[in-house]
Amino acid sequence: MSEDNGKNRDMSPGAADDTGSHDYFVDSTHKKNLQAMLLEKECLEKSRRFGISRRRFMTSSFGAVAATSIFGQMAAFSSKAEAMDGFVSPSEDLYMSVAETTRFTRLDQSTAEDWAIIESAVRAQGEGVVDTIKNMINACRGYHLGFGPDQFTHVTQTATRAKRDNASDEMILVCLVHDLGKVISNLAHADIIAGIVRPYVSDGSFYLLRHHMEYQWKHYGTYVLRPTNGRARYVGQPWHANAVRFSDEYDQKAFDPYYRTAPVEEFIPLVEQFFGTATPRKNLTHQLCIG
Amino acid sequence: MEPEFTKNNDRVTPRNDEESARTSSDSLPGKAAAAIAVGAVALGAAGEAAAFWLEPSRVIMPVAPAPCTGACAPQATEFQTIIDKEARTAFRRMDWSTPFDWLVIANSTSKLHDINTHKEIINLLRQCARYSFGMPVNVLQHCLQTATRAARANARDELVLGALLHDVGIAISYPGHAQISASIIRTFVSEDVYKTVLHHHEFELAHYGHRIGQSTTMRNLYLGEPWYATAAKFVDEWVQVSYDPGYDSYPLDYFIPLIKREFAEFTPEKMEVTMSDCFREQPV
Repeated sequence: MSEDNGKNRDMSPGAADDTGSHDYFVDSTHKKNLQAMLLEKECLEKSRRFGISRRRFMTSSFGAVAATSIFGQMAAFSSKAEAMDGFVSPSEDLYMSVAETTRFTRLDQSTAEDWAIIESAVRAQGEGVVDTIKNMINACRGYHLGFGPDQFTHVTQTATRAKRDNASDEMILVCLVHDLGKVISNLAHADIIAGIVRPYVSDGSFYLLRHHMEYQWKHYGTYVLRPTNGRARYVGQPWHANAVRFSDEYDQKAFDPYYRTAPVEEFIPLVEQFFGTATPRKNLTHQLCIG
Repeated sequence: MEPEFTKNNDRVTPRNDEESARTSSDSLPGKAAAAIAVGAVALGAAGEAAAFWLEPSRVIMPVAPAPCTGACAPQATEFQTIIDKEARTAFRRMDWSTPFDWLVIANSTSKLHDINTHKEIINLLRQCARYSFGMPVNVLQHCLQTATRAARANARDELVLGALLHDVGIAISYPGHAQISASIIRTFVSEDVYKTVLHHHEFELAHYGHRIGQSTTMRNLYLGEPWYATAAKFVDEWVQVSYDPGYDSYPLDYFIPLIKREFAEFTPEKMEVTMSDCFREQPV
């Protein structure tokens, strides 16, 4: 892999006063992130003025006063509606406007008419999946799990790298969603997100997402007592090359606060294209091991 | 503070669990904080204490579903501060990371798991109250009814949990909901419960497949599996009869201790479960 092809400028050092938190604070519209940014900026300014380190300033009493007033403001307008800015609220008519109601109380007493009603309601809910995915992307804001950049920056940076590498639309989408399962449960996040996107993508992408941790462990498995050669078992699979590319070139590199990550708005059309489809594949659980 | 999107037929969405008592009101802490902030100009230590007491991570998740769809509630709004205070790694690429970095990450991950995971599950369950698909019971009621039947049949805890969460994936997306639900509980339950939830749709089809022009014998794919009997009982006795609006289900409160207990354990070794079922041969 040649680094000097003009595509990847991510190794260039940032500006002198770049704190490293710039990227993922600036493109964040989330209120709490703005508040955190405010706090950080204020503390930085004041610590500069007093000529002490930021950490010392934070623990000093004046820093505590600044923090207190900002936390106070946060609590003051923490009404739920305002705190949830940036999330897509459910449009109730999408789910509630079912005119007819089924009659059965057990599935074995249901009729074909009942299932027609359910089918149309399910189709109506399907339009909401785009919002759900957007909300999950949004929920990653400020969600660090110990990593330097938060998960929102990580997934958008992964997608940006794929896009600048001229990857296919589906690969860019996979990069954008690959860690969203972490907002539910970190342990099985690969499995969860694979299950979520499976009806909307090809089987190759499904398996890529499902097993991406084993590919990632090549880079740090020794530190977490995991096999570093976990990917070897998938060598013959048709999606193996994609998974290698995803892991080595996009995912594992996407923790760089100095990288010029594209704003998430660039990728929203992709989300709408894939998850807004009227015909997701359904009921695939009986064919789990076809890859 | 009550949300406005409560449904008319939303009879089982609880209004008073033990968390609600500790939910902060919006104006009071703000005023208190302002007062303390003024006072703390003189007393820095008091300000520090106030900053501790008012930090948003102390705000407990509300009782109703978050006012958005899917998995979106707690992280961004409540844990911002606790997350911001944590140590973070500085590596820019994973292959430049050090063992110490992964200690930091493991620490943060397990802490957030403790704070967050059961709340996210409960939130997803509450989101399910939005969906009824034209049926007289909504998905949350269906889940509670299924879990109640399982509990009254003295099923083991993880099977009750499976019953409670077998449709929770609907809160995210219907077409893949069985697989989503199964994935969510996968690292917390044993293999047979996971498989039961994963394949419950194939077992369900025995009861209505002929009404929609599909096979009723899909479950025969799994005749040889050790979990076949469990799954058959799960679907036939608990899931498929749980569309009865007259049934007296336990409220969600009843199951919250179960959820907290079952999702309490954080075992990173379980991350390897995805390796175990499709591609069985060992890596060379």
